[in-house]
Amino acid sequence: MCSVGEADGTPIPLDLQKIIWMLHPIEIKVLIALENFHTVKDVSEKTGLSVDSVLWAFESLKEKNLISVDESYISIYELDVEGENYLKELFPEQRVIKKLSERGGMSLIEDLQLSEAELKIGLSWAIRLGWVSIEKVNETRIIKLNIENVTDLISNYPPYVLLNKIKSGSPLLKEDLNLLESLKKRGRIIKDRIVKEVKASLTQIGLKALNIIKELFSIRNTLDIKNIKIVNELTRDIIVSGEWSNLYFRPYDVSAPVKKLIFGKKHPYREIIDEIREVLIGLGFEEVISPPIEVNFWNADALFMPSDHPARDIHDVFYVDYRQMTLDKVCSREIWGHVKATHENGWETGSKGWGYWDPELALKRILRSQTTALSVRCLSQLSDEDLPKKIFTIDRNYRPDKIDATHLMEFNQCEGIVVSYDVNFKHLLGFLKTIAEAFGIKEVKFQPAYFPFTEPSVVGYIKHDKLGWIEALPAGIFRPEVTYPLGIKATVLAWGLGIDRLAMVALGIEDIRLLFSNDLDWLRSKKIPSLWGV
Amino acid sequence: MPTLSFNINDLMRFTRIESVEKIFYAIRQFKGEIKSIKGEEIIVELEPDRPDLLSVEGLSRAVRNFFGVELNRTTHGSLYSDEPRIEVYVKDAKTRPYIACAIIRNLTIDNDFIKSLMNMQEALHITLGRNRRKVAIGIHDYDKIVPPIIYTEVDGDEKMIPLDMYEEMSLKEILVKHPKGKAYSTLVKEAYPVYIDKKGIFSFPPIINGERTRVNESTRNLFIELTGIDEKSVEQTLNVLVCNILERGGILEKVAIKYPNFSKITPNLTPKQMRINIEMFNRLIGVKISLDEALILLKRMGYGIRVVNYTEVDVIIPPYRVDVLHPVDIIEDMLISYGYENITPELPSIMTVGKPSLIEVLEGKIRELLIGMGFQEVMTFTLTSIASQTTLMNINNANVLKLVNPISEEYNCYRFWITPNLLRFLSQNKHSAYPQKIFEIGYVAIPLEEDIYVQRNTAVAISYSKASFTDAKEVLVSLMDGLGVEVSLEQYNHPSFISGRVAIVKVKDKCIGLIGEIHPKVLINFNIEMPVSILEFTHCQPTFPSKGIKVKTFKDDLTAKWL
Repeated sequence: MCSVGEADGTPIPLDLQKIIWMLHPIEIKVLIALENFHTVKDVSEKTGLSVDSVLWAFESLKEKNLISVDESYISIYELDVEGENYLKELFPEQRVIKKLSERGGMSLIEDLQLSEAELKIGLSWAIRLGWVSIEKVNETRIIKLNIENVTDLISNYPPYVLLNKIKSGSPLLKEDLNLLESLKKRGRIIKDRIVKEVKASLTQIGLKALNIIKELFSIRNTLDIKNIKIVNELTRDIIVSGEWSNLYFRPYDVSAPVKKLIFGKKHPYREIIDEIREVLIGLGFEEVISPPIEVNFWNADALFMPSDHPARDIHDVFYVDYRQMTLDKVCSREIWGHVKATHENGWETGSKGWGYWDPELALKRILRSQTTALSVRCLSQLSDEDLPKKIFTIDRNYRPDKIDATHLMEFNQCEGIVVSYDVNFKHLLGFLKTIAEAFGIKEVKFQPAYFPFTEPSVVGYIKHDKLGWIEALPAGIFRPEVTYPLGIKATVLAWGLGIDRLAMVALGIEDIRLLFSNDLDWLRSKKIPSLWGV
Repeated sequence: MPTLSFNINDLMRFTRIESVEKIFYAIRQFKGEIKSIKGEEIIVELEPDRPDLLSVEGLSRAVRNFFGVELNRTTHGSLYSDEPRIEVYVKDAKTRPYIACAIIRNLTIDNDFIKSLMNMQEALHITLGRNRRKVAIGIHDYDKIVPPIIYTEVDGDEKMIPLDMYEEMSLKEILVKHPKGKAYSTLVKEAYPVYIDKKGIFSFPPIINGERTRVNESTRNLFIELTGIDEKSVEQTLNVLVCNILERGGILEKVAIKYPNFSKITPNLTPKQMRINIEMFNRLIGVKISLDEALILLKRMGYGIRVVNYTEVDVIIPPYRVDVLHPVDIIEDMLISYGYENITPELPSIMTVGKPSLIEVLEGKIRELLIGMGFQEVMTFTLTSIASQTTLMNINNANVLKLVNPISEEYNCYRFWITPNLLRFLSQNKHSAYPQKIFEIGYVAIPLEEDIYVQRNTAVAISYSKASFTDAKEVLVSLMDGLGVEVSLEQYNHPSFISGRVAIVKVKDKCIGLIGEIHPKVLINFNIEMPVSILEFTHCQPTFPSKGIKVKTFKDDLTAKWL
């Protein structure tokens, strides 16, 4: 787990990092505002957030211990019915002098057409304030304006100013308080109520968090909070409009768990096969593939396996229910004759032969039990001008084995041949060693072995870190009884690679049945294997 | 492969070698794999090509030669009498016409010897004898036989007391009641081959010997008889057997086999010769050894030698080395003697161009596109059951390539399409997260009148609560677009699919595959509870290697033979 460093280099506690990742953009904005402002009102004003949003953020940040919140109770003044009315229509005393000044500063009371309120309240206040005086002339009363600055009093009359202040919520000054008290006595102009005032300030942790956020977003001016816009998602609009340059993006909890994707991939065994193919193609081998439904001739007879060889028994080869192959489809008459003679008496190969051969058996259809069938088929197609030639195949083979942890009826073999007049046993070992090295195997040892169609034969063991020596590379030089009848006089090095075994090692499985696993969860979750261990 | 048990003390006594490590090393050189060591007993797996090594006597002889341990006597060529004293008459033997016999006198037989004889016999039965069919061996106490000895065929009602039994049984009864009779009864048809002496039947090859001539610790002289269907194999087996027994001492006495028209003398231990060129060895192995070095190598492998000239040697092959067919067999022995570990691996300076098969290239592209569409590759068996290919798929008639020798009903044919395999796969993964999108690329085989066709198919299955024809068609269209192939769909009827929701996929008027929604009846058959849509098509038809033949793919001219 890594941690984002603070400016001074001390590591941030893990839980603080997590807290920051989880902050909502509103919380972040409020946190920034709290560096300079504390009340709900101020914060709301500076951030442009609604009071409700700010209150929610306070609550939420407090829970996270990023801020402490102080609550105090204060009186709040508001306009009452009359107050509202006066604010709209002026105080009655103001209205009186306004009317009076309109009539030239002197008038009969009746002529002023005062409303009841103006007459009862306004006139007495105007008199009390010394704005007007009343003179009795005969039976009539004349009202006379004593002041000149009527316009000024309309807008700057202190009680009126106070109403405006209260209405707009401007802060009251100390000198306002006396006036407030006296206005309150006039009734229904101003009312007050006790309210809770919420003030927040950053805690030590909050301050740390703020610094991290400032660092993250490279915020220098925390006073200009309204312009700090934090968003969750980058959208097409944000990109296109260019708005992104003014935006901050909310940081994510990069350690948060996510759901695993189900994605398509190669079969793990296929992955191994492809790695092997790449190595062999790189070594100059040409790949061939051919149908696994074969005829005995190529699976055994052409490999100089005697007609009664135990490996040709019905317990070792699957025979298919189809008429035998006609000779002309099996091979040329020439090759047929050579193979027959080689089995019977050695022909021109220098061999004694087996002394017998069963041509009927040779024509029977089977499922290939070894890819060597393909190797000799390839040989039969080669002539000297094609040499040197290197061929390989990775393909399916069949054996009537009961399925268990170590046996399958179907298995893959990888094998290759090198055909040239200029190769020998030393080179065969050279290839085996190179192939092993290509898979990063450093230690290989060779021991004598027996295969019916190669002489000399060898088996290469490879050293595995955990499993020790593994028999992995059977090989040999094809017997003249195999090559001569096919018209090949050159030396043929042949090798196989136990790829089922190799794949099991690479996949770390003990049961060969898993190679053909029917378990989708296993296939989906199996990490992509590699013979190179990458 | 033959697996044998040896006593380490026996091996040391017979090889005259004290070091167990040395013996083990030599066993490995003779292609033996030491499977386990339990106290004095070691279990060794040996290859079937050297039947002479399949007993403590023969293996020890080879190890001794390998390390140059000299004995006072040679193992062949001097221990047998020239003129046979005993005759065996062959009369009307048709089912197992070839026999060979030998007598070994003056033996001291103990329990170990008897055990070794039985093991030797068993190992030869399995290998050269092809499970007694080709060659069967009987070993008797010669002193309990009263000549003349006749080998003939009798009626199944004739009687003898078989080994390990106390009462007479007819030959027919033996086939039914005796354990060996039951095991090998298929080797005896109408005729019952037997060896008879004055007292009656004493051997019923290839089934069982008579109790009367049983070999025990008081036996001094052995009568060995072999029967078989291949003359060479019968004689070779006798040679191996005789040479190995003679490692224990004794004197060999040949036997005259009298056929009605001719006679011969067995065993024939005259060694065969084969000419070896040292240059051939040097060329094939990639080393440079001299004639003198070659002679040492040959001797260590038990061969006799007669030098012809500076490069050629006539190699004298001991009669028990029945595996030597060609000079390369001797060359391998020389190489073993030289030591594989003494050959320095080296790459040849030949230049070749590596390239992938076109089939793999094409399949690589298909695989990549399907994986890109989120499909998981699966790999199932190409062998399956006829029922799952047809009946479960609601199909009545189809060309199915059946196996002649299936080992279970579950795998009795080669698949002709992959779809049933994918359905089986889905049915086994109902607990896994949906949607399930899988594909397989692999072989199918279709036996038609003119030939068996082997094709490679791509099969795709999509399964989730709303899997539909459209899902499969989207995959088809996108895949073919990616491959640059133009396909068309044609309404079709197929019993595995919902009628009206299945089509044939065509490329240039050739049918290459099927696409559709699997019929609920089929889903029920496979115990699947989710809709499944399927796409399966043939993408290529591999051929056997042949010059000038191009692989057919669905891009040019290919018809799916399974449709």
